[in-house]
Amino acid sequence: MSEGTIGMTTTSDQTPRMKILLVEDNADDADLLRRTLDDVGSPLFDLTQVERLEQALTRIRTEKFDAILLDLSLPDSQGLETVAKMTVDALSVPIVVLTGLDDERVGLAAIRKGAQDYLVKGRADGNLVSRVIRHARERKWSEQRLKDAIRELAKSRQELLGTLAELNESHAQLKVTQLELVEAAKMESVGRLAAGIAHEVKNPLATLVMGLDYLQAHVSGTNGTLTQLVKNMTDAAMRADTIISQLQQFSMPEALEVKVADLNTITSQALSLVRHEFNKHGIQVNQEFQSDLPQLWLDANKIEQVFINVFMNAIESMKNAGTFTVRTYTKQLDESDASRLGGGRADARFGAGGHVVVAEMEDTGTGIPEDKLEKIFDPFFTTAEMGRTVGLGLTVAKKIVELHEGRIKVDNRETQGVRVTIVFKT
Amino acid sequence: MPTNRILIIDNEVAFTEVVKLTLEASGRYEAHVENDASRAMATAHAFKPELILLDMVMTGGGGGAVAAQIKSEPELKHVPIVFMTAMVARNEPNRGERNIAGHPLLAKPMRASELLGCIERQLARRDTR
Repeated sequence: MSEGTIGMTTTSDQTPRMKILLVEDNADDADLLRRTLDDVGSPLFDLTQVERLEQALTRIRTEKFDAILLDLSLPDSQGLETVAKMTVDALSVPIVVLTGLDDERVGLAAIRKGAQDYLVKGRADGNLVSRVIRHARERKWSEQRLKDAIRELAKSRQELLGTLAELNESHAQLKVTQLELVEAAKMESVGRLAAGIAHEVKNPLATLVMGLDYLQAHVSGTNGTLTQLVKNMTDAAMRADTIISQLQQFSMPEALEVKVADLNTITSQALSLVRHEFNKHGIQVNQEFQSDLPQLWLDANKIEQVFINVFMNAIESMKNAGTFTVRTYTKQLDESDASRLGGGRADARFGAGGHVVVAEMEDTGTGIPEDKLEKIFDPFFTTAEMGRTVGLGLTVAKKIVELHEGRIKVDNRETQGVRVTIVFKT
Repeated sequence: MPTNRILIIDNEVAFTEVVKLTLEASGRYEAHVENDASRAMATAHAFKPELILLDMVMTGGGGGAVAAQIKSEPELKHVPIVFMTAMVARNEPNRGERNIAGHPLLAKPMRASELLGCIERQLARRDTR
């Protein structure tokens, strides 16, 4: 037998009894309701009565009721406020409001506040009461199912939005990858071209340089103008060689010869190779090396090239003296380092908490215009005057550092000049 | 003052001429040029050099093959070889230590002082052996 027989005299003992919480402080009204329900003729309802809202709230927290019959004027709560308070705690229990006033408006207002139905005291027989209770429960269930459905929908929508975001991100990633591939292909052909022409250009340059040195030996001491002229020609030929060499390095094979190496030793070695250039431009060089750096797996020759390229840029930006500081130290990355190095998201190695060895180089030169900062690693980008460099120094440096799974960052310093940070994972 | 005999083997005619001039202007060397790699061995046997300047990349026979041949000849195998090449970048690191199979390698273009210094060191090493 189903609930549909509630109120009929054919109800059997197998029908589950409905647990009803009656919240009513007036003993007469409670009694009347109890008798009304008895009229139905069968112990269909299991009635629990409390007199105060507070008691009702305590009961529903610990006991499960099938419905609540709620009087609106209780010692501790009056009017529609009672419904509002009740619905907060009795989330899934249907509420039927009992009103002494024969007033549709109060009943309807109670429904708007969250009750499922209302009964006017003394105006209902047993069948009506039991039907109202049953309908209230049905309505509550429907409401619940609707809420669940809405929640499901919201969840699905959230999931869809998430998927869409992921798709968008993948799409953006693909675009970047495609651009990188195109760029890589372009660079590879530039590299091949460079390697090819380097040999053809360097042979005539060799003849020029050797010939100019020969001429120099023969004009020196005789004619100052000629001496200067030959010197200028030699410098020009060597500059052409530098540019060709940069192109060659750019196209160098990517294989590394890694060995256990000391970053301080490599840095000093690189400094000594360009010491002459620093001196020539009156640049003061400060070395601040941490003495106990952990050993790293590096291709010492290639890393030395990285430093030389960075040093040459610094010298280029400090033509009229300045200070150049090289620092090495170990560090545990914090959140701001991690975001600066782009760690955490794709690359956990440079996430916060990771231990790294840092080489930091600061100059007091002209700095890099903010709008050019993002271009500095692009091939053939240069801020130097035309023809002095080919604009591959940092491109090559970045390539080498990344082959070592390290990071290189270039920023303008707050005060003056540029800071280059190279980071290797320990 | 005794002079050392230097054989220059390189395709680049203009380059070999100026190297010969440079070596002879130093007053310490007698230089001979061979621009044809295929004739390198014959010229070496005839000239009997005390040091060979050898370009790595030549038409008609690579410098490496010429070097191997020189090393296989009893008469020539003790002659120091200095390789020259336009294939490597001059400012690549450790250019001073660069060598191939124990022979020094000079990156073109090189300064006259680099060339003369290198030859001098190789001859000095030979003499102390």
